[in-house]
Amino acid sequence: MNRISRIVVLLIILFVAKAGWGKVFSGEVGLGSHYESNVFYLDETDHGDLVMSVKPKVKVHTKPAMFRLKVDFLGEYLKYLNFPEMDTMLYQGQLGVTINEHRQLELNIYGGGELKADPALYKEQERILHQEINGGGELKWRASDISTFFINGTYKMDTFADEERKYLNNYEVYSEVGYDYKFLPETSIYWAAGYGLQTYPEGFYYGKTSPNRKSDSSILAFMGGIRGRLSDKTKLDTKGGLLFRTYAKDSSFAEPVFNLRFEEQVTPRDHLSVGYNYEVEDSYFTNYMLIQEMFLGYGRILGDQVLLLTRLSYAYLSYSKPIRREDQKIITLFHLEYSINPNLRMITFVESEVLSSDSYNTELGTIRDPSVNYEYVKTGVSFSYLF
Amino acid sequence: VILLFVTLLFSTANADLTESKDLAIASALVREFRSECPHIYNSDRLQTERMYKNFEKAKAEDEREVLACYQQQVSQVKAVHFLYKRLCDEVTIHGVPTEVNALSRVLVMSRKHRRGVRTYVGQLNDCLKEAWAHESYYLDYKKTGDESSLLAERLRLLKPRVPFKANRYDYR
Repeated sequence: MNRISRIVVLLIILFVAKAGWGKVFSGEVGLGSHYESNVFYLDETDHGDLVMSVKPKVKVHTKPAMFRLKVDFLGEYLKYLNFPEMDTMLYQGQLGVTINEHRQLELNIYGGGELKADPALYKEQERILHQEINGGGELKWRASDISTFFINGTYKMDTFADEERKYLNNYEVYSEVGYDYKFLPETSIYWAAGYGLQTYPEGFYYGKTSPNRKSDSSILAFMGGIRGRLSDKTKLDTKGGLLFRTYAKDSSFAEPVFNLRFEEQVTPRDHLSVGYNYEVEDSYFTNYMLIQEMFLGYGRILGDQVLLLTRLSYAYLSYSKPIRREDQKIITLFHLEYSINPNLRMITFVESEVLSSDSYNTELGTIRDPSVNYEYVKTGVSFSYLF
Repeated sequence: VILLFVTLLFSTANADLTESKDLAIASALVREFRSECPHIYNSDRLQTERMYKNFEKAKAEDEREVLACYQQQVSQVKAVHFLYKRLCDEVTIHGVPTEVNALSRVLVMSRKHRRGVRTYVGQLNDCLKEAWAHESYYLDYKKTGDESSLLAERLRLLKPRVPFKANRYDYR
C-alpha cells in the first residue's frame, strides 16, 4: 500500500471512530504547504523546495475513574516537490494506563513509539531514519494532601534503519525516587535521586572494528526544584542539581545542571515566557553535549480570532571529547493563527535558524574541515480541522 | 509578651488612605483592575453559562454525586459573578473614584474579587475529581476562552522541532 492510500485509510478510520466513539475520541487533521529555503541544511548553495504536508492527530481518553486509558497518536507526511529523497512519513504514538486506588496510590504505566527522521547528510542521500521505543511506569503515594512520594522508571530504545548505522543502536534505563511537598496551594518543592545506564551493544566508532563499547555511560543525578505559582500572574518551573554522566572512555561530566522557566501574564491577552536551560545529553556525534539555551517567548490574542505566538532562542552547544565541536544557534519562530470557526483554523508561520559551528580537528592528516554553518528559513500556511 | 503588649498598645491603627502616596498606589491598583475586569468577566460569564448547562444535564442524567458538587458551588459562583459585574461596571463607566471613602471601598472589593469566580470553579473541579465525574462536567477555562491559560500552554508547546545538528558532520 502506498503512502497516499495509507493516509486515506487512516482518515476514514478517524471519521468512523469519531462517529461511533464520540465521547472519548477527539482528533485533528492538518493540511498545509510550506517553503524550505535549505532542505539539506548545507552551507553552500541553498536548495529550496516546496513541501506539502498532512498531519492527522488522534486522542482517545476514557472517563477518569479507578482505571483510565489514554491513547495519543500523531502522524506527519511530508512530500517534497523537487527532492523526493526528503519525503518522509513520521509518527508518534503513546498508550497509557492509570490505576488509582482511593486517591492515595496511583500507578501510571505507559509505552509508545516514535519514528524520527534526521535530515540527510548529503544531497541525493535519503533521510536517516531511526525508531524510538519507550516505556515506563510511575508509582505515587500521597501521604497527605501536601506530601507525595514517587518512584518511577523509564526504558528507551533507539534503533536505526540503515545497516551502516547499527552501531548507534542503543537502550537506556533510568529510575528515580523522590518526594514532593506542596508548601502553597498551587506550588510545590521536590527532591529526587536517580540512577540509569545507557548501552550501545555494538558501540564501536564507525569504521573501527573493535567492539569496545566506548560510548556506554552511567547516569547519577540528585535533583530538586520548585514548580507552580509564585503569584496570581507569575508561574515558575525550576529544576537543578548535580549530574554525573560517566563514560567508559574519554570525557565524563560531573557538574551542576539546571532548568529555569518563568511565565508572566502581562495582561489577560499578553503572555511572556523566559527561560534558561543548562543541561547535558548523550550525543551521537561524541560522548555528551552540554546545551545552554536561553529563550524568550511572547503570545498575544488579537481581537477574538487571531492568536500570535513568537519565540526567540539562542543555544550554545558544546560537544565533549573525543570529537570536540562548538555550535551556536539562533532560532526564531513566528506563528499567526486565525480561527475561521470553532473547528477550523488557518495557521501561517515563519521559522528561521542560523547555525555557526566550530570544530576542533584532532586527527592528523585530515583534509576536510568538518565545521559547517547554515541558514534555514521555513514559511508557509496550513489549515487545521478539529473534530 | 509584655513587650508585644506594649507595642500593640501604643501602635497607631493607620488603615485609612490619607497619604498622597497611599492614594496613588490605591488608584493604580484600581486602574489595573479596570483594565483586566472586562476580559475576566467575559471568561467568567462563559463559565457560569456552561455551569448552568452542566447542572441541568446532571439533573437530567440523575448523576447524584455530580449534582451535589454543583449544588455546593452554584450559588457562590452566581453571587460572586454578580458582584464582580457590578464592580467592573462601576469602574469602567464612572472611572476610578477620587473620593477617599469610595476609593477605599472599590480597592477592598477589587482585591477581594480580583480572580472572579476562578476560586469557586477550582473547588467545583476538585469536588468533581473526588466524585470520579466525567470530564465533560469539569469547567475548563481553556474550553471557555480563558485566553491566559491558552496562551501559556501554546507558548510552552512552541519549540524548535529541527534537531540540533549541523549537516555534513557525520555521526561518530
